[in-house]
Amino acid sequence: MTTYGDLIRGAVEHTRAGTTQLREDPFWSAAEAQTSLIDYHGVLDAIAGHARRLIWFVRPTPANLSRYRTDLDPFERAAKNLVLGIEALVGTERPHPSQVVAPSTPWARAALHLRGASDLLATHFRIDGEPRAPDSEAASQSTARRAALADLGALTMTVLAAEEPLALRALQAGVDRAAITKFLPGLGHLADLAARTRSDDPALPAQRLPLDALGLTWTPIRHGDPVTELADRMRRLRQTTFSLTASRGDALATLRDVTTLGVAVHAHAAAFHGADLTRAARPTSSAAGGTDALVGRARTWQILGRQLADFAVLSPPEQSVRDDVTATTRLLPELAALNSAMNAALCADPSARRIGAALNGAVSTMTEIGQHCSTTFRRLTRSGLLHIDARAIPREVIADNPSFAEASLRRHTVTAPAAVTDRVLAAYDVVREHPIPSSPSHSPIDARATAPDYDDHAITRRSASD
Amino acid sequence: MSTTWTEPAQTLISEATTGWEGIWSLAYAAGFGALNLAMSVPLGVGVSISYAAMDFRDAQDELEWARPNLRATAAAVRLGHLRAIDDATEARAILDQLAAAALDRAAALAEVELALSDQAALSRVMARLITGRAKVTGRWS
Repeated sequence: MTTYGDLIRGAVEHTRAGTTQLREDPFWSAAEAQTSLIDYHGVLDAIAGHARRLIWFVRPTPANLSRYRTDLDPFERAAKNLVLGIEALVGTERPHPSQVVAPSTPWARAALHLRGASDLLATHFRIDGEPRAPDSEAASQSTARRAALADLGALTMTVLAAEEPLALRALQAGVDRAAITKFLPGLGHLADLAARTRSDDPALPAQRLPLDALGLTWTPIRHGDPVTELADRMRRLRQTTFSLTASRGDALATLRDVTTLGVAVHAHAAAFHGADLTRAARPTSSAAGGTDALVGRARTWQILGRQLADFAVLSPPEQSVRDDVTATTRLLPELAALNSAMNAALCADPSARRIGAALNGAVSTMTEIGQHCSTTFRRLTRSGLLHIDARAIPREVIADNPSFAEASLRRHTVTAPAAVTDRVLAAYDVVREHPIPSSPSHSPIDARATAPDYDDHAITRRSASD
Repeated sequence: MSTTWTEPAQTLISEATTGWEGIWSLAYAAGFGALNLAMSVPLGVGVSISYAAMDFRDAQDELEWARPNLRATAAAVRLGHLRAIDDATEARAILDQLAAAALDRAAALAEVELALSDQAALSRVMARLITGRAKVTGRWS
């Protein structure tokens, strides 16, 4: 399970990568440099958000910290001043512009990890501020928060140290000097504030432990309302599949069960939007839009389920998703019947709009689940855990490999050849993208299009490679 | 009415052994048959068959975890794609018969397998076959 410590270490790692990149590589273009400038502000924004979370550990933090807490110790006061200083620089627009598009720079990935750490802490407390679990309470002790603030101060200083090299590289790439000055007007005062939250206290490592080991807390599923329950279950499924990316076990049974959910979610979403699902199966173009895209995606999940069925599952899953999959398949017909020919999305009824939002959200979540499953499957291919009945290997592959032919005759199970796993990965490449792509005009920063082709899912990738 | 599945399925039902291998062969055939059928029929019908395929495959997994050698020793019969979509009703009935035959054998085996771990595995297998049958025949909801 990803812990708070893992996320902070990820943020540190990507910050180091950002600094190192500035030392070695000039930007290829002014657009790439502008992207880095925006993402640099993004990581500062994430630092401010995380400091808020630590200072006001229990409850969501308001814009004016001092209105809620007047008992801040000197370190917390320094952190509060740092927060206010950063916000004066980067603004308080939500979401921050760097968050609107997928991360493509080390700064953006560092920000993603920090925001993930903030969200992880948030899951440990109820809306009234009460801790959800004994671990939550231990982690909220002032000593643990103090240690975390000290770490955050050190990280902030590391980020701020990159200001001048970043400005230099941006200038060399052709970014307008006025624009650079606007983004990087001289951040020494913030570094001074960050320095006041740092500490060399030898007791810090021990004080940090309760927070370091903090994972996501268990969150109950809210029953009674299918819309709410669907959202809770989809969220938990997303979390479970994310955890699989870093797991060492055989996750194949879970990956297979998830494909059933993929079929169901897209089929019911298509039915809600008026698709006629009684028509005979027919090929769907990859460029299809609307309900055809949803039907096509359901079919891709079916193909994926069929492909995964060829692999032997060596051991029971560490984390079963069956409960959530079964419950979700019970909920979906309550929200949108498969045999309904009416386009409920056109209804003005508020309850229909709420259901539509829940189903659209489920489709989006399935995209993220597809990404996590893809990462997990890649891990399995690397680990040699994928075994297949030799008789299930395509003839053209067997023809080129006598050992497969012999195994097929002897009914043996063999390590899956790349030709087989590549087909599965190709199907995963489809389901990890949203079935209805967003219009390019929605991207606020055209410069992103020219940015280097990084893996968009930094946390996932890092966890999988651990 | 018969489909391309009818003959191999009936042969399997009549010849599958009464032990673990026979149950595995029946669950295996039902699982792959359901996966192929779900892809052949309209999506509105295919969704519930996909649910059934998940259950049949979970039953197969439970058997393999209890008896890891089954993949190598039991007969693996694959019911391929259907010749015509009109055969879907008959195909669903065939899948139901395969699962019913597996269920009967599992219930009988549970009478003689006294180890607690085997009892637990067979219970889980039966649970999956029961729900799988309900889904493939449309009696689930």
